Amino acid sequence: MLQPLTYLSQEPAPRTPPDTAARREERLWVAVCLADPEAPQHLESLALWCDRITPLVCLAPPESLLLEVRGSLKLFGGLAAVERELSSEIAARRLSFHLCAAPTPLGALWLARRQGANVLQTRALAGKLGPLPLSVTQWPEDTLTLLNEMGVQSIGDCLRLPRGGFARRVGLRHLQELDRALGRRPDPRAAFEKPRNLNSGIEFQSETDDREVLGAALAKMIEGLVDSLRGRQVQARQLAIVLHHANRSPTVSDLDLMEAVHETDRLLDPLLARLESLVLPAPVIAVGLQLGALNPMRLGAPALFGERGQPAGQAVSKAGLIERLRGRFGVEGVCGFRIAAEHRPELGWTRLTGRLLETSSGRKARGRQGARECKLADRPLWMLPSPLPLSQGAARFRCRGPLRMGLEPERIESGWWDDGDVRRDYFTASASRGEKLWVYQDRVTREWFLHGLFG
Amino acid sequence: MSVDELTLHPGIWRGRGGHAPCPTLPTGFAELDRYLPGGGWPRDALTEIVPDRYGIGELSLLMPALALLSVGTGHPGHWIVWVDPPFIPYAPALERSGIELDRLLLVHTSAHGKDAPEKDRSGNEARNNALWAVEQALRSGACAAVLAWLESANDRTLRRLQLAAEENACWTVLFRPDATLRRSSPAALRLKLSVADALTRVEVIKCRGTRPGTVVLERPA
Repeated sequence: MLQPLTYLSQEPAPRTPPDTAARREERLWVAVCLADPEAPQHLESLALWCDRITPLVCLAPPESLLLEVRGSLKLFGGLAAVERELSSEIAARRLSFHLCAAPTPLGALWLARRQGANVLQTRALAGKLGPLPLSVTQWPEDTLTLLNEMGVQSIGDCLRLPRGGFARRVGLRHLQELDRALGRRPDPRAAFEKPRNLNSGIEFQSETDDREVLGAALAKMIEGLVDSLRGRQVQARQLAIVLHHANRSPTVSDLDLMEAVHETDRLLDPLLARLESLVLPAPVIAVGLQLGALNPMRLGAPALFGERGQPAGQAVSKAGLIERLRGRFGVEGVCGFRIAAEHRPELGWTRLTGRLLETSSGRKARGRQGARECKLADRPLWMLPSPLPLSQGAARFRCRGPLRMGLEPERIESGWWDDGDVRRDYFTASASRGEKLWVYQDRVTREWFLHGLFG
Repeated sequence: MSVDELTLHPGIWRGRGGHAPCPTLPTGFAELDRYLPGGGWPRDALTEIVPDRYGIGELSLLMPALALLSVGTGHPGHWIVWVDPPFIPYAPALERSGIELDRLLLVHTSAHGKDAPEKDRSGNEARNNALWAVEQALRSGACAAVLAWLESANDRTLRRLQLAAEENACWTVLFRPDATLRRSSPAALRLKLSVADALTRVEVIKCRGTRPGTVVLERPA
C-alpha cells in the first residue's frame, strides 16, 4: 500500500506549547530510565515525587520518566543540581537508574537507555544519536528484524535512508519518531495525570493490634499523601483514620486540624497521638486514610532563624499545639473560655472548643463587655462544676469548725424565664484553716451550698 | 577586670543578693519580689507550689504575673495552658484579674470520653497523659506559661520538664500534693503555701540563688 508523501496534511497539527517570548527557548528534557525489572511499579510514585522539580512530568512506559526542566534550572541552580536532586531521591528508593538530558524527549530517552552523555543543543543531536543501536527505539520486533535484514544497524543508518522509501517500507510512524527525536518535528507530551483520589489504605498480611505497626502504616500513607498534596498544591484540613476489623464495622476516627497543612510532621503528629488514644475493639486487618475538605495551598514565610529561645524549624505554631493535644485528648479535652453576659454564676462563662477556639481572638470586644458587668462583685477563681451541699463540701475539703460568713450577701435571682430559676444569697465564708469559700443559701429551700473557692 | 565584672560570671555563686541566673517575672507582691533573686518568679524554669489546701489564695498568688504575660507581646509564646486543674477556673474572675481570656487553653487529660472504660487501668495512664501534655506544651514553643496540677511525677520526668522549660523560655508552675515535699526536686523554686490570720505564709523550701525562708503576704483580696 502506498503511503502518501504529503502525510503532514493528514495529521492534526501538533499542539505547540504557549510560549509568549518571541525567541522561544529550547526545551530541555531529562529522561530517567530505571533499570530494575520491577520498575513499572515505581514509576507513578516517582512521577508524583518529580512534581517538585517540574510541573511537566511524563510517563514513558515501560520504564522511564521524562521531565522538562528548562524552567527549573534557575531555581535549582543548573542541570547538574537538578540531576543531583533526582539521583539522591531515586537512590534513596533503592532503584538503579540512568539519567540523560537532551533538547527532545525522545532523544533524551534513547540516550538514557544506552547510558549516553547529555546533549544540550539540537544541532548536536543527530551526531550523538547516530551511533545508537536501533534497540533503543523499542520499535516492534518485526520492524527491527526488517531493518536488520536491510543492513540497517543504527539510528544513523536509518537517517541515511531516503525518507519516502523509509516511510513506505518501515512505516510513517517510525519516520515521525526519528524526526521528533532530532527535533525536526514538535513532540508534545501529556503531563502525568495525578490520581484524583487522595484516600489511601494499607492491608496487613495478618491481624494486628500493635500500634507501632499501625503507626508505621500511617506514616507511609502520609508520606505518599504529602507528595500528592504538594503536587496538587492543596492542603489538608480534615482527615479520618479508618481501621478495618474482620467481621466488624470499621473504627473511624475523625481529625479536624486547626489549620490546613501539607507538611509530614504536622499531619502525622496529631494522627499518631490520636492513634495512641484510640481504643481498638478488635485486631486490625487494614488501615485507611480518608481526606475531607482540601484548601488551596497557602504558604507563609517562615522566620529565618526561628523565634528566640528555640531552634529554627522546631517551632510549632500555636494552632499546632492544639492539634497535638486534641489528637490525644479529643476535641472536648482542649478548650478555651469566653465570658457570657449572664447573672447566674454557673452560666457566666462558656467553653470554647472546636473551630471557635481559633476564632476566639476576634471576640475580645464582647468578652470585655461581660467583664464590666462582672466587676460588680467579687468572684472566686475556682468554681465547682456544680454546687455541692455544704455538708458534703465541707467533708470533701476537710473544713472543720464553724464558717465565718461575710456580712453582706449578694442576692442573685435570675432565670425565671427558662428552666434554671435561681434565687440565692451568696456569702463569702472563711473556714477555720484559712480557706475562703463562696457559699450560698437557696432562698426557696433554705439549704446551703458550696459553689466556689477563692483560690 | 574588676570584681563587679567577675561577679557577673555565671559560674560564681554569691548566695543571697547574687545575680539572677535567668530572666524573671515580677510577682506583683513587693515582699516576694524582694525575697526572690532577680526580683520575681524564675521565668524560664520550673516553679513548684505546694498549697496547704485549696482555696487559700494559691491562684491569686500567680494572677499578677499571669496577667502580665497574657497582655505582654514581647514573649514569643501565646498560650497560657492549664493542665488538669482540680476545679473550673472561673472566667469572670480571671478577666477581673486582668488576664486576656483568649490566651487561655484548658486541657483535661482525663475528660476524654473514650478513655472512660480504660480508667481502671490505674492512675498511671492519667498521670502520663498530664505529663505528656505539659511536655508538649513546653516543647511547642507556643506557650508563655504552663500551669499543671500533677499528682505525682518522678525525679526524672521533672528534670525533663525543667530542661524543656529552660529551652523554650516558658514559665512553668506545677501544683503538687503535700507528700512530695519530702522528696527532692529539680525545680528552681519550691514554695509551700499556708494561711494564718488572713495572711498568706509563703515558705520557700528551695530557691536557686538564695536561702530558704518564709515570706508573709497580705492575702490578696
